[in-house]
Amino acid sequence: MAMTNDPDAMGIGDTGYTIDDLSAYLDRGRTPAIAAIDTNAECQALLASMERVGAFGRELLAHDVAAQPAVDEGRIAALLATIGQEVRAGRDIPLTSPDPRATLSVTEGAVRELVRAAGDSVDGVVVGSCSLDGDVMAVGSPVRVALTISVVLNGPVRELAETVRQRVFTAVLAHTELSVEGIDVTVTDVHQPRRRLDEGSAS
Amino acid sequence: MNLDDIVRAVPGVLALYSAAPAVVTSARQLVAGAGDVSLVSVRENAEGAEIIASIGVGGDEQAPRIAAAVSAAILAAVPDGVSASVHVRVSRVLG
Amino acid sequence: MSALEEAGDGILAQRAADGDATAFEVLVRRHGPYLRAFAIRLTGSIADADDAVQEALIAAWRQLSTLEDTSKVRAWMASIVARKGTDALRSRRPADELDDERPGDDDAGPERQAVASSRMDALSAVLASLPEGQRQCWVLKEMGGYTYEEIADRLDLTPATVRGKLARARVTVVKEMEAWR
Repeated sequence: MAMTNDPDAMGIGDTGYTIDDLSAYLDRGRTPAIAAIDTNAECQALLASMERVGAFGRELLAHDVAAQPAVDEGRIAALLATIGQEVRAGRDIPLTSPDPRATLSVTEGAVRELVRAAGDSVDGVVVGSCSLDGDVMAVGSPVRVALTISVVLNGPVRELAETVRQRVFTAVLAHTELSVEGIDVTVTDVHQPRRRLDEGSAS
Repeated sequence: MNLDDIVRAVPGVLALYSAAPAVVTSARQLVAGAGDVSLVSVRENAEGAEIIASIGVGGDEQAPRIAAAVSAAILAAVPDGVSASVHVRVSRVLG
Repeated sequence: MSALEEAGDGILAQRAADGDATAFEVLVRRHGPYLRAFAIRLTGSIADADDAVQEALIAAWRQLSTLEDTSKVRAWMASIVARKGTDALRSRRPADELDDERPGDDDAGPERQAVASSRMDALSAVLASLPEGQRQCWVLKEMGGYTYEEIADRLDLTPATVRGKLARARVTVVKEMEAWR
């Protein structure tokens, strides 16, 4: 090490390691271990301090979040207006037309929307994603509907899934001419129902 | 009555959406309309008029039946002798 | 809408990716305060933070289908906020500025001439006094949990520079927070 008048030349606690080194060592999770740092009191004190104020920072953020008001209604309205109310359309799924001059279709987005509504109508179920697998563009071609759901765990999940399947089938039948080969319902999440106002306070 | 009003008047139609991003309107409208921008798009090409309507229907109805009714209503409004093709697209199933 | 409010982030993000704006709205209301708080600490300005969050939410809506693990939607949205927040600051200042010698501007907290009345106030004041680049590195690391590479990418710096700024920020914060051990 060069001889200089710089008081930092010998590093923290004369270990030769600088504050940059210690900071990076902390962020590496102190691995691989460096004995010179791990056994040096001044280094250890500094590392502990940096760690502590880092934790203060996360505490400050949590405090900030708690102090935040609810999202501004004007901003929500502006956001929704920008992203638009039209469902992501996707492909035009054909419907039979009585008149050769007319082409009729229902969009994939509309079908997803009606599948969600059908699944949501089952108490304790919230539908997640929905997809149509198969050649939806060829009328009569077999198609499978796949959807994910989140459920409230207060009864047999299989029965819930079956009810969802039936309602989705009815809805798809009413609004499309898809030849539905099967409906695959996958439970990917669980959720808690909101406590109702007439229930007692939390125990 | 313009095409927008005709489509909205079909039972089961809950909403009418803008049919196309770029709407080209012809100097000779198929059906006289008063509004500025019609949501039903009308485009003229070599084959005649191309009409596109994007609708929302109620969940308790049947989309294929309403789409057919809308196309029939639009075609009925096209004057005799005018060649027209219609595309009715159900973009939403509401409620 | 009330049933949607019971649902977890993952399910809501899946619906939103499919085009359900109502599900997206639930996510926005649920995580908006966190995103805003993070943006304010990062940018040091309420106005910049609000712009960053609004732009980030629009971008999130459009890019939702790219999110593979939908249960991570909160952290994912925060990373977009981080991008928008640092982009805004970069675009406003010339590339060769020496702002690391100046304290960053901050209208996110009150003036703190007197002794801070709490540890949180003290930390808030220290962060506000840091040069902007150091503050950004510290907030992204300690509050955002990003790696040096991710921070370097965000701020258009090298990881070595990020390490240096972070270390200097930590020295300042440790020194100023000594009284609050």
